[in-house]
Amino acid sequence: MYIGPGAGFAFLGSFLTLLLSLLASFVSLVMWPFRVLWLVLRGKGTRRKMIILGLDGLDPKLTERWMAEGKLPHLRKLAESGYYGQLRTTCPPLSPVAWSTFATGVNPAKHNIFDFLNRDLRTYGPELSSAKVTKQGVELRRKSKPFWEILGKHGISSTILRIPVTFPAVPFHGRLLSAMATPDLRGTQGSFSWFSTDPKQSVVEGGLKLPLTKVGDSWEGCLLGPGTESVKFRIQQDKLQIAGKTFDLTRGEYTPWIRLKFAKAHGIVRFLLTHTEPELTLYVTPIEIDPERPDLPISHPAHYAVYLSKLLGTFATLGMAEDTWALNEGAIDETAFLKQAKLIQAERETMFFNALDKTRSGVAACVFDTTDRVQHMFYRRMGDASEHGKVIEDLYCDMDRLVGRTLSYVDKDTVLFVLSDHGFCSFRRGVNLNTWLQQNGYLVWDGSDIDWSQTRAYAVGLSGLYLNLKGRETQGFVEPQQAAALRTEIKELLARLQDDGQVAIKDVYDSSEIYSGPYLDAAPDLIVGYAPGYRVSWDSAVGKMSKTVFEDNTKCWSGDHCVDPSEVPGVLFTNQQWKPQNPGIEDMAPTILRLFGVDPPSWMEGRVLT
Amino acid sequence: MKAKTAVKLNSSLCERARTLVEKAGYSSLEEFIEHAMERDLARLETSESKEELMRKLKGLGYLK
Repeated sequence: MYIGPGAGFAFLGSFLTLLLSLLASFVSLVMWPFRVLWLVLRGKGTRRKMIILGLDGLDPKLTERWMAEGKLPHLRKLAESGYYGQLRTTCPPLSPVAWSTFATGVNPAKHNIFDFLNRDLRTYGPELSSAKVTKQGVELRRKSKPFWEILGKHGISSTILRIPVTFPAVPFHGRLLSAMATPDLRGTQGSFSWFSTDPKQSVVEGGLKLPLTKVGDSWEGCLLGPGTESVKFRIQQDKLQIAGKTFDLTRGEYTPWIRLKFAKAHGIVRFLLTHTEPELTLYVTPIEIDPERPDLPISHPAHYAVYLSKLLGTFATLGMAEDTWALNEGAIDETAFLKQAKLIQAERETMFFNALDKTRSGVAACVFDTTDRVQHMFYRRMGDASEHGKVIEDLYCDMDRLVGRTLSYVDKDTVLFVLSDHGFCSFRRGVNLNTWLQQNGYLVWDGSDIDWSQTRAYAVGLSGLYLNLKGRETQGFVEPQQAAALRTEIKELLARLQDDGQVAIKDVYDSSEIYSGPYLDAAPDLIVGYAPGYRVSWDSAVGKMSKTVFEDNTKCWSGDHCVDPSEVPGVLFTNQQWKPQNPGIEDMAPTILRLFGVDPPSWMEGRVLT
Repeated sequence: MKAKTAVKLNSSLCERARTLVEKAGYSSLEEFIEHAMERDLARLETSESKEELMRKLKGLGYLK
């Protein structure tokens, strides 16, 4: 049961919505005794509360090291009084795959999420695996049923905050705020703007470089919005004028969220003055969906995002809001990136503790992904003498503080899980699988593009390799009866790949051997388990070629987890005194159901942990 | 936009399917029917251009 002040607080600005909210509250009040009676009669009237604190990418090696050194006292206490162990992740160990398995208790061939990316069968181009935005609407591509929908059918309510692969929000008995895959107003996964008084324009990865024009004693810029729309702004001394309002600009400090209204959409942005000399430069976040006026289904019920925004303040809604490309490209520096990550983390903590304040029974779950983003960007700094050498250690200590605060909400009837979906390792060398396939005669390059009429295999995504199969791919070349032998041949050859004597690939998996379910046809034919230090190269991930198979990764994005799953398990802490054997992330959903007295359905594969 | 739309299907066909959907790994009859529709739609629909697909992915940290 969720006890809140009522959505009415969120709608003070509108008499009609206030009236409707009061009516809904009245109906809810009248129905309350009947709901309680119904639950008791069904024998599911547990008052049990469950808190799930997800820390994306929290690595067991680092956690164990800093627990042993006494730097994570709350996690250590939880481990000593309850249980701590490594949590087996999915193959591949990627957040959309692993959190989908967490939610549904099934392998990827039953939930249909195999990677961040799918490939389009006609164009062979990469597309987002988890959601599809079309003129007809938005579709969630994750299949099967998450545990919160099953609990809801038994009258048990959940508050689900930012668990990946929940965009668009799907109706169920509870509240949900979407996360990963939520686009910005330009329909991308987050395009920042980088303004400068230097007139040279150029394209940068993940963003747009745009000019500031001198007009009298001020500078003017034009922020590009959805479609062909744009918003003009002016900078005069230390003031920013935009959308009829004026904001202070202080070098190195983000402005508050600024609301922007377009013809058919409502957005929010923050500005950051990054330099005042020799040129004036400004960073502007991607234009994110305004949670107070969401134009896409980012929450369930639809007014939940509005309620959170009105009650707690505006917040980042983008799937991956920490702007990693802005740091890679130099639009912001490390300090500004960390400041942005902390602002986002603070917004999410406010939401999480609001949910904990309101939850008397049922599930309150939140996944924090600052842990993932900061490790991606600062792994190269770990242990060095720079001012950012302890960023990751400090991050873990900060997550320990979050766990400590969460523990104050745990009573004898509360089950607490603290878990991560995968661990982390370094990313020093990229492997271009497409180039390797070409060098070994599986892929034919005609000088400007891949010759699909003669290509037998190709790579798209962070772990997958596909056969160009007749009857499946539009220009399929491989006969289905030859597929199994070709998979085995490539698997054996690829597993021997070395980088100047160094093992680059730990193992290669045949999806038909490790997955089973109705979506197996959509899976990559082979999944590559890279050795630590290696990952698919930046070009190969989007289906491109490069001159060499191996290349150095010189970007700030220097930590990763797109490796063999045995190298990057996650963590599992609970206040339950359990002794589970080899727990896996697929075990979480059936375990959660059983703790509420609900039998896991027959299609679920995970075991109930005890 | 409605999240779900009701359609009328032959009831004996649905019963045939209902007995098999969970064995096949689906969580519901609706999921099974949606999957069948998606497979056929994938064959019939036209794709977005490669450039448009790439544009939509812009900003995803894992990709260039």
